[in-house]
Amino acid sequence: MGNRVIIGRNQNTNTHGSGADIKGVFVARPGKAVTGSISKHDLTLNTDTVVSTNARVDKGPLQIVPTTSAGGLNQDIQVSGDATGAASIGNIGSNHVARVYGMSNGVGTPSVSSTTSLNINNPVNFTWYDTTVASTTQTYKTVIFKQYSTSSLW
Amino acid sequence: MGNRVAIGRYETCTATIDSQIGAGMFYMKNVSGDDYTKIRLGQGIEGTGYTANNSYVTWLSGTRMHMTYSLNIDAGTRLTFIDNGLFIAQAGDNVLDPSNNLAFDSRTAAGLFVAMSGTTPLKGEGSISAPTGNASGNTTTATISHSLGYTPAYAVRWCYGNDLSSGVATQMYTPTDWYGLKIQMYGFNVYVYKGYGGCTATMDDDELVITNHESGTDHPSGTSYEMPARDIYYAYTIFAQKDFTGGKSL
Repeated sequence: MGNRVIIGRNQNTNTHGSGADIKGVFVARPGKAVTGSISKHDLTLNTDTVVSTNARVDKGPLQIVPTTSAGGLNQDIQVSGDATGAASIGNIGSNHVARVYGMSNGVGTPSVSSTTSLNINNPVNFTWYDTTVASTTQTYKTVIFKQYSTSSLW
Repeated sequence: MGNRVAIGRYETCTATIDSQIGAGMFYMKNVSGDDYTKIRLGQGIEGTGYTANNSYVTWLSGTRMHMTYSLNIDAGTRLTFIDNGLFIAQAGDNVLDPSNNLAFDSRTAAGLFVAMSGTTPLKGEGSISAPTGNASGNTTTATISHSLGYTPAYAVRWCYGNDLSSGVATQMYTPTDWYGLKIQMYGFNVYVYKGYGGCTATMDDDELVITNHESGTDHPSGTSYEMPARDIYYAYTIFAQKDFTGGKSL
């Protein structure tokens, strides 16, 4: 197996979209040589701009912002009905994407209001099978993805 | 365009000592160009006014910050807070003074890279045939072995056959299942219909199990099925990162 990592000049045109060679960081997945006959999708890290500055690969891989100072991947937030709860998050950039998993009734609206906090609104009531139900205290498991795209995520 | 990649020392922010609480403990404030809110636990600290090396942040809360060494430093001293790692800016951006979020930031808690089984990426797609017996509540499953030895993060999406166009899904759904009852009255007769549908996914240390709940709905005698049992089509990705959603699909 050949080398898996290039830092600097990459002359392998199999791994980038334009030009004879480019500079950056390129990491091939196990079993693949970054300088060999591989495809772009064999790279686990690729700083190529592909075809435009808006290319997704240029935005980087999906990474998770720590939700605690100890580097936690998630944080449980308990919020009473008709209330808003908040959690402090690590400050690595801004405009992150908040996701919530494991809600008992799927109720709640998460948002990242600034670079340092995540807010979740638990409404006073919600509709379930065409019936209005008073919202009880909910526990939200929150995860913050580093900004990638706010239009869709999973 | 500036440099896009920084490896090693990375200046995160500067902040100025407002006053000293005790040895190695300070209130911080912002002056022009500073931002104490970007101070993070474990960051290295550099600055004039003291000579200790390898000092780093051991505790912080609001404007208060503790450092490794029990030092006395004059108010007004500006400190520089640094991280070590790999940092990559987006195209056209300067990694040392970025205007946008970094494309890769080693200060993050984790990254989502596709897990491997040997040299094969753990991602794929397939179909699960319909459960037997309309409205039976029966299920059928697909099992994907990963043998990672821990429960990984994963993503599953699914669709119906009529969502496919030339083998490509035009829309897909997050894993969820449902069970419903429908009650109809005709004169003195009461009819109760059951229905089951959806797709769920569970993950453990060894395998991903995707379950087809689409046994459909039942019907009054002599009429056609309101909704037949159906095949489903799924796609999945298993990440190297350990589960952080409580076992839910991303």
